[in-house]
Amino acid sequence: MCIVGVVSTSDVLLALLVGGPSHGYDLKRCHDTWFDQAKPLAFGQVYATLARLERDGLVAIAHTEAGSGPERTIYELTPGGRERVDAWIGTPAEPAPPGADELIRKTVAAIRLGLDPAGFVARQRAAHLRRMHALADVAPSDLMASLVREHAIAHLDADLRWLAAAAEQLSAGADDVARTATRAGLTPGSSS
Amino acid sequence: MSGRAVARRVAGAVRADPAERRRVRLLTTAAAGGGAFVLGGVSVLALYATGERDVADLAPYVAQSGLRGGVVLGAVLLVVPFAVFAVQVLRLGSAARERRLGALSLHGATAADLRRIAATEGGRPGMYGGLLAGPVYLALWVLLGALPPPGYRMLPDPGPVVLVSWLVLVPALTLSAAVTAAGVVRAASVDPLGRSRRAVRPLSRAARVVPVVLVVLVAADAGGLLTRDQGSGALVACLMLLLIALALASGPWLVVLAGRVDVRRRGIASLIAGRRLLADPRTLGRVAGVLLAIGLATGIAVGGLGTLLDDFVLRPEQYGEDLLFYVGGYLAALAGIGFALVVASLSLVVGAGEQILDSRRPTAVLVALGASTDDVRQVLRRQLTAAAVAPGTAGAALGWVLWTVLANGLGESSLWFSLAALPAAVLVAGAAAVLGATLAARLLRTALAEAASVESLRAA
Amino acid sequence: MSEHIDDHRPPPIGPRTAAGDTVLTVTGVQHAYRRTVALRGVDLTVAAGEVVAVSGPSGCGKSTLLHVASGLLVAQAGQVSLLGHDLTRLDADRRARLRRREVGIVLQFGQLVPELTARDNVALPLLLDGAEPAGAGRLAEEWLARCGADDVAGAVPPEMSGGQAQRVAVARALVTGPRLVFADEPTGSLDSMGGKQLLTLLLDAVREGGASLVLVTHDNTVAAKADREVRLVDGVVTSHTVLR
Repeated sequence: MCIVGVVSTSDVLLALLVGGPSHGYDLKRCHDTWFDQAKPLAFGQVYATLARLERDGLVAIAHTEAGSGPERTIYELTPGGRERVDAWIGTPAEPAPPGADELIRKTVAAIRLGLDPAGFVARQRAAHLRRMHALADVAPSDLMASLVREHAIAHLDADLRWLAAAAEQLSAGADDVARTATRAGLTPGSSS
Repeated sequence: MSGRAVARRVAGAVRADPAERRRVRLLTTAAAGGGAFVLGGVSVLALYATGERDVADLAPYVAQSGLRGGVVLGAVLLVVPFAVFAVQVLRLGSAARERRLGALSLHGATAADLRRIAATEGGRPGMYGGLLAGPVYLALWVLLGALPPPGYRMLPDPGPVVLVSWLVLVPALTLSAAVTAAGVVRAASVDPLGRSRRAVRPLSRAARVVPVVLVVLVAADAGGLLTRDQGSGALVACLMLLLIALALASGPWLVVLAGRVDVRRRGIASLIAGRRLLADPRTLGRVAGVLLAIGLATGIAVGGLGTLLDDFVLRPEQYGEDLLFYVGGYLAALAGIGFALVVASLSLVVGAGEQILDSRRPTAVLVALGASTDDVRQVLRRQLTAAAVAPGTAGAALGWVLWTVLANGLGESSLWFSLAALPAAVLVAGAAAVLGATLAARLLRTALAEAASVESLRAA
Repeated sequence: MSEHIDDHRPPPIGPRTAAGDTVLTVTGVQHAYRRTVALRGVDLTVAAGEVVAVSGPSGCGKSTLLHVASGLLVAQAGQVSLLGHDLTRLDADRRARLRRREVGIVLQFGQLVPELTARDNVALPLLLDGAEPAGAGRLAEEWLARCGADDVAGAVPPEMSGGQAQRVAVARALVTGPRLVFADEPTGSLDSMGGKQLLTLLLDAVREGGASLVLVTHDNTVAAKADREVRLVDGVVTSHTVLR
């Protein structure tokens, strides 16, 4: 599976505040609804981040309101904070590097070393397809959820296409190895 | 590489394409046949100049200067089917060719480049045809001038006039073929998915006006003939030519009419055939025009035969042996008409064949949807019938009317043969057209089967 | 290694649900064109109401399988049983009759008769079967409306966009109430948005009609929407995945 890049909580909270002054609880709810694929934010993390941002002058306390429960602090974005948000959006996200993925390692091993490559490819394809099917079955609640789902599906699709291409390339390479081995007088498959 | 150079390279490669070779052969044949008849007509025409010394063994129609004009006219008229055939081949030139041109223009070949290529592609067969017209004329002369016994020869011995005409014919044919080809080139438009769409020109306003103008001229000419006491050879000849032109110009409109009728009929084959006729009336319209002309000629010839027989019945002593002479003339005319029909049938095959190729994918889709082979053949048969049978029979009826009006046939003579001539003409023309259409359908059977096969689903 | 794939012929695998009749059984089908072998022994079974995706790299195998299964083509070897009829025993005209009554076909593009309006195109299978034109036209309009293409009912194919034409094609495939629909890359020439919409339309219409769908595609996102996937590589079935 692909790795979702680590997103800075500060950047997300600042962006969420562009919508208007909010309470920490509302910010957490918004985040969890929008990015429901990621881990939900812990309250502690939200308040700690907000405090840090206030210290750095990127947010300010708008006012406190006394309600039926404990005191609620409303935070708002400062001009400095707004600049930071614009800079964040203005810089494109780093294309996630593939990294030493388990999928890649398994695929290379299975095909290159002849560990039931056809069976492996079929099983891996089945797993990806079933996940795609499951994702497609759930109707997205809103545009945000739909976008997140499409991203997941697109990555699964990319993996499947890579898998098919890899199988083709690697078995072609393996054929070459086998041919060279036969020519050299060695039995095919005895060495890799 | 400039667009021009690309175009030239491709043109060179194209010459090896078997479909192109066949096209060149067809054009050459058409040019050679038409050219041969022109030479034949010229050789007869030359008798006016050389005087009576060369006419000893010739058939009376050719020997007598009064009747000679008819033979010359006949030769000219026989050139028309060849000309239409040639235009048919030039204008169609296969969907694949237009796609190629479309691809070339994508690579930067300008319209001028394309016209230049087309001119060369067209001019070459024109030249070959012109050169071949000489030997074909000689063969014609052997058939009609050397072999028949004295007194029955239709063509005089070839003389210097014919040779000179041939030398003029070759460049004339080359030029006219080149010009027609260049004027006709139409690159297909290529859409972003790489599929090309053939441009089919709808009938223009000129196509509406021309037949009307011709009808007026025909009426004027006919009127002129009627008001004179003496017949006028020039007016008759003019009338013949105007009628041919009118027939050719009306062909597409007949096809449109047939299409409209078919669309309202019940049955899916009629619907599809009708819509195809309406979408491209020109291709089969050309053949319809020729068949209309053939029908007219048949109507006139049979009408004339009818009048002749009526007159003979009334005054047998006036004719004696001459009856054979006159009847022979009419039969010879009918033979010529039959020959024209054969050439017209070839035009039909080429035109319909091209439409089958163009509609390969829709035909295969029809079969995929569950159309039977009979359904598919029905569509073709409807199109061929519209192009051949309706014009042929309508022309025959009109020709008989024309003859009757102009020759005052319904006068003092007894009417039986004259009246019988109408159904006879229609029957003869109709039967011949049906024969031509059936023959064409037979010849196209393989092409149709290929179009209906699964492989055609891959065609663009 | 690669020989494994060449020799591998999985046994015919039936549908997951035992309920429901089998609408299509393909056994050991082989077919070759002039120089290419398209199918080397393929088995496939489709149950009523199922959506089966046939995926695989581009090549003629998948389309050939579709042509054989629908009776458009007689395979050089093997058996095909379509809705209980042994296709190898039927002549071309009887297969045509079966096709126009019980089967719907959707192709990638260029499948409408260019001279007919959308309404006439949709009514085509009915008219081919000799239905009365007025009734056929009404049914056609109904299906055009269901497929969201009633705005082009009177237009001819050259006037339509690709998406509209494909919608008309879906309407045509379903107008006879077929029990089996074959779709060969129906979204292939559409953009991603249009493709998704068309696929949703096709799946909904098929499921609503209780028909089965055999969907040939090389697109994984399309294959993932099916109940089962059969993968065809080099003329043989290399894997079979149950997705639902």
